[in-house]
Amino acid sequence: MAKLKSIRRQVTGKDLAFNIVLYAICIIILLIVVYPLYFIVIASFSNPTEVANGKVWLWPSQFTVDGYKEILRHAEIWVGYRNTIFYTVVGTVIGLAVNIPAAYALSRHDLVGRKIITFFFIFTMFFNGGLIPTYFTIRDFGLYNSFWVMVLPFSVVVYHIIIARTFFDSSLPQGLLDAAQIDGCSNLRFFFQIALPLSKAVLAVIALYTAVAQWNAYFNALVYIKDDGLKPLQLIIRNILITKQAIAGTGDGLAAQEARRLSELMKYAVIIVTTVPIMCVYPFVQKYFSKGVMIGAIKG
Amino acid sequence: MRKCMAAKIVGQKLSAKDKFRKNCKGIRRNWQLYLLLVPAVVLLFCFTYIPMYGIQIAFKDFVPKLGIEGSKWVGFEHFQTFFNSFQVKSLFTNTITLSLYSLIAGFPFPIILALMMNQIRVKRFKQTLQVVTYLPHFISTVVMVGIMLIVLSPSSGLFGNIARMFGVIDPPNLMGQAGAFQSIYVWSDVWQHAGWDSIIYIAALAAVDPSLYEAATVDGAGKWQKIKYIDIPFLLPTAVILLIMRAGNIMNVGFEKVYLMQNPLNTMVSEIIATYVYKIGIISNQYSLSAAVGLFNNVINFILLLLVNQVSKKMGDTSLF
Amino acid sequence: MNHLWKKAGALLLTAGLLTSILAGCGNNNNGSSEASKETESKANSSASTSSGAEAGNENFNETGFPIVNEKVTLSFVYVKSANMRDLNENAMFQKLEETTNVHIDWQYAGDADWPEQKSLLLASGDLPDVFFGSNTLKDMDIMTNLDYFVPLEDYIDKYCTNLQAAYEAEPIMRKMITSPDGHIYTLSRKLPLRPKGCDVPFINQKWLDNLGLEMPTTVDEWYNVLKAFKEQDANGNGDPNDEVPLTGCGMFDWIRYTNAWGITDSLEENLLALDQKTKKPVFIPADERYKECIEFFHKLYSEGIMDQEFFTQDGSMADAKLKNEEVSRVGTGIAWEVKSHTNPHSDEYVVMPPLAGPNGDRYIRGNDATIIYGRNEFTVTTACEYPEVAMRWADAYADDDISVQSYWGPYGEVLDKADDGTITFLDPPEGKNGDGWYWEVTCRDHGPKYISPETEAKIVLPEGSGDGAKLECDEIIKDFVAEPYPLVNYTEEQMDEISKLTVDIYKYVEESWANWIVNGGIENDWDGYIAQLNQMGLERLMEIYQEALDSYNSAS
Repeated sequence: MAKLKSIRRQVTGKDLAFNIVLYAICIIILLIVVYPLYFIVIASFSNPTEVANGKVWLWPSQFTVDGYKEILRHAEIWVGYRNTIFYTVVGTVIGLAVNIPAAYALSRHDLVGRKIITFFFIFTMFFNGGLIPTYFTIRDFGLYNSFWVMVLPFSVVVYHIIIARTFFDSSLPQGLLDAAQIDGCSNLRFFFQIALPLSKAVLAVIALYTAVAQWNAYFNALVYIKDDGLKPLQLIIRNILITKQAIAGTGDGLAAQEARRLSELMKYAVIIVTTVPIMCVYPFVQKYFSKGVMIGAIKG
Repeated sequence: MRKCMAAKIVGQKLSAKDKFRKNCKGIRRNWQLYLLLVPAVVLLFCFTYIPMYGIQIAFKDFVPKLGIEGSKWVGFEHFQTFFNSFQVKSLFTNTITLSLYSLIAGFPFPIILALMMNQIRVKRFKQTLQVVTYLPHFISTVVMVGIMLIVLSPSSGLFGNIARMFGVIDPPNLMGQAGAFQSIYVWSDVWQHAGWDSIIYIAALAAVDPSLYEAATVDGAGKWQKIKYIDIPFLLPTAVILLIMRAGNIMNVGFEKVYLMQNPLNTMVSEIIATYVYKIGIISNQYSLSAAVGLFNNVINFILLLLVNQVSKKMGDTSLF
Repeated sequence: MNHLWKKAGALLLTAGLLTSILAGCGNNNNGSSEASKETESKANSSASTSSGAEAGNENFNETGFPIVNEKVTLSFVYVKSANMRDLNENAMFQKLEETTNVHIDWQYAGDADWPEQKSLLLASGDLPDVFFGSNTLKDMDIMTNLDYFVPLEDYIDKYCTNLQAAYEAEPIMRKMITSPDGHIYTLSRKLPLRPKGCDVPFINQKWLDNLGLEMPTTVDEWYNVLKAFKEQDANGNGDPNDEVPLTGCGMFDWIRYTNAWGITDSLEENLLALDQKTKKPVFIPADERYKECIEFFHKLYSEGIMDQEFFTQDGSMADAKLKNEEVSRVGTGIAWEVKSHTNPHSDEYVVMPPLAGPNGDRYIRGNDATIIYGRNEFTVTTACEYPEVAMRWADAYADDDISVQSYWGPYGEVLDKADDGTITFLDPPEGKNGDGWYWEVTCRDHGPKYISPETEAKIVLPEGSGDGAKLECDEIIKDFVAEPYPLVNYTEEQMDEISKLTVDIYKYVEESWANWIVNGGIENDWDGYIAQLNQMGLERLMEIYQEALDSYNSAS
């Protein structure tokens, strides 16, 4: 009895040491990561000359909100916000609808032709026709300059399929499928009623990946969108920001000087303006990562 | 002898036939699975496979007016041009070293981070840590490099100030040292993306059956043992798959960040294939040459992926296909 | 309507693509794209005129206004900065539309991503009627896609009286756009009230006074002054170490300092100079004078006079040192215009007359062809159904009044034109400075503009404007402007070869440049360096430059 107790104590003693080291490391990580983030925030409220001269490092220097004013002055921003939110929501739904079923099908070892089909997918990660033929194709499908071009043609992301496939593969016990099949459950039913509810964590991850990618995307819009009314936020922001630099480059007296100042000022504010909304998504996703989501279902 | 061979051939034939029959049956039984694949396959076919005729640009002298079909066929000329280029050797070395360094340094961190977060019991702290480590992912590359320049400046940056605080009179200009370029690139990348990359592992760990931990506790296992015998094995398949995918990306180093970090003091190590392709493709309009380099690059990537996949298959049972 | 032709074209194209895939990538599939092109232009014509298919000659007036009796729409691609307002809101453009009866469908591209968009536009053949402004197409884009563009010389000679007059007065405007094949594919422009010199050297007069030093006149004196700046507390704030005598970033910032060594860059970022004596092209980084200059700057660098971060910082950091709020930190430099560049310490800095180099050379970079004139301002494509209309519009634009208004702003809003023709400036709206305002309401430098010297003489610049300040600086330097390697015209083949050769050469040059200034050793490395450059094709490159120069000079 005494022996058992001493083992216990030894274990908890070890665990305590473990915990101290763990929390210490985590706090260090937290500080290392937080500081540059904090820097961006204070830099966005500071005079850009002070920032570039290294004088901003704890507090904003010569506090200003001109950067934000300058960004929000452009009315297109709000159209961009609206579009980006639409693209993100619709794109995420389509992304999940396209990739997750494919991933599930590919996770099934009894799928005839699994290897070939996987190859069909993976091949596209390495080889594609390049921009020009893809542009022709999009145009020929009538998708050029339409809402759908942002959410449909490039919604298949092989990387996401592989990740989800691995997840299905490793966390759905084979016994579950066998049991369901004995009960006469069809593949579709199994997928929708058993596999999906058990895989909320990976759904959350893929949804997050897709949403963030959609949120940050500008290249497709650049190539395939012509109407200002359809442009996403990132594209509009890019133009505002780079224009300032272009004018600044002309050396045209005070205008250039002002443009240069604003472009430097906006650099940091832009990050805040464009990322705050998408940042807020994470806590919602986070709750699907809590433990034991699986277990009740399997046991029940 | 001959009989034996004949029997063998017959046997093979039979088994092939059997296999075919079995496959048909399998397809019929799982037809619904194919239904699940249809949207993805159709989209990929339409928007990725149809445009693939564009690959021939690499073998042609692409002139916009003539179009892809109309341009003159030149075979491997562009590949030769690339291989005869003065930079080809350094391009390869630079790309591969930078990539391997990134892989070796960058791959374990998300896993370690996820394992650590999984151990944290204080919920608030855990959530904060997750959110904070995930945020840097959203900093655009331009700003990221801008911050690096400011922070690392020996005269006015945080780095310079700290170095002087410790009595270094003349702090080195890290951005101007070719030898430091790769480390700066890699570690700033780890800083920026480790949190984001750990999300997939955090999600995977959520699927661990808590009863396993309970059983381990009863057996007297400490935290360390639980990580070693439960968490790590559980993450392994995901980790291996991601590793294989990264192997297939060895030749692709993010172009933008390297390009922005380039300065004349480090180009001997910072000129990589991607920046070179950009310079010849977009800046000097040599569509075909840049397509050829890109194609060559991806062929190598693809071969690497297949190789690593094969190795992984032999060693464990995790593989892409 | 637009959609219809797009679809028709698309269908034809798909058919073409599919057959070509089926036929195993047949090598000549021109037919289908030609066909779609035809559909395109046909549909365009019916879209742009209300009367239907045959607009033809009855609608077009060879002289006088309107240019067309029934309104015609032309599509212009223009790279617009986000600040610029829609040009259709501009009173001057509205009036121009009324007079000419030509409506411009402006298709704006953002300057952030134009290079990618341009590649795609040219590669896909979805062309507008006109590319407007020199920031849309570069020489190379035009020369490598000649089939896309309409030769303009016949139209100029037939319809464009303003352009003819301009070319008569300024022959260079015609010369710079005449391509080696004899055709003119794009129009040039001339800006009003421009300086001759590009870079204005400046120095901190207050620092000179603080230390009791004379204004330097040679590079050696300059060196001594900078050394004193470095070693003493020149700005007088008590800290002798916070002075940065000389800063900047990158090779093209630095190359401006080679002037005193007798090699002046041609402003085209191609490292090319014209030897002032032999009138031959010189590749700056392969010249002995460059070597001497590098040795000088290695001395500056190793003694800490040249900013240690010259090679690694970006423009904003170099700028910030100059604009440091509490106290001035920079001793000398080169700028487009000194006052605004050195703000908030403008009162401390003065223009430094060009320094004499080791051989007594005193030069300033300048190139009329890029500072005053420019090309690729107006390029008509084969997609344009009415090149004659487009060209008459361009000619209307090259009118004095229109050009002035398109440069600063419309009469009545930005400018005021008195009865005697004097042009003065109205006050900018509350909270705006004039320079920034002009950028907002006009297309500024762009378009085939020409302003006659008579009109130019009547423009009264407002007090303290950027243009005016630059002209003041120019007074001191304009006599030193060296003859540049001119803005020549390359053939398609030359262009192609240059772009292939320079990728490797530029990289090697830049690398060696930084290395020598930081670490020294140019004396030992020089011969190997030259040999390597020649191996990379430098000799061939110089041959091309010489050929191009010869044919430029021999052209009338």
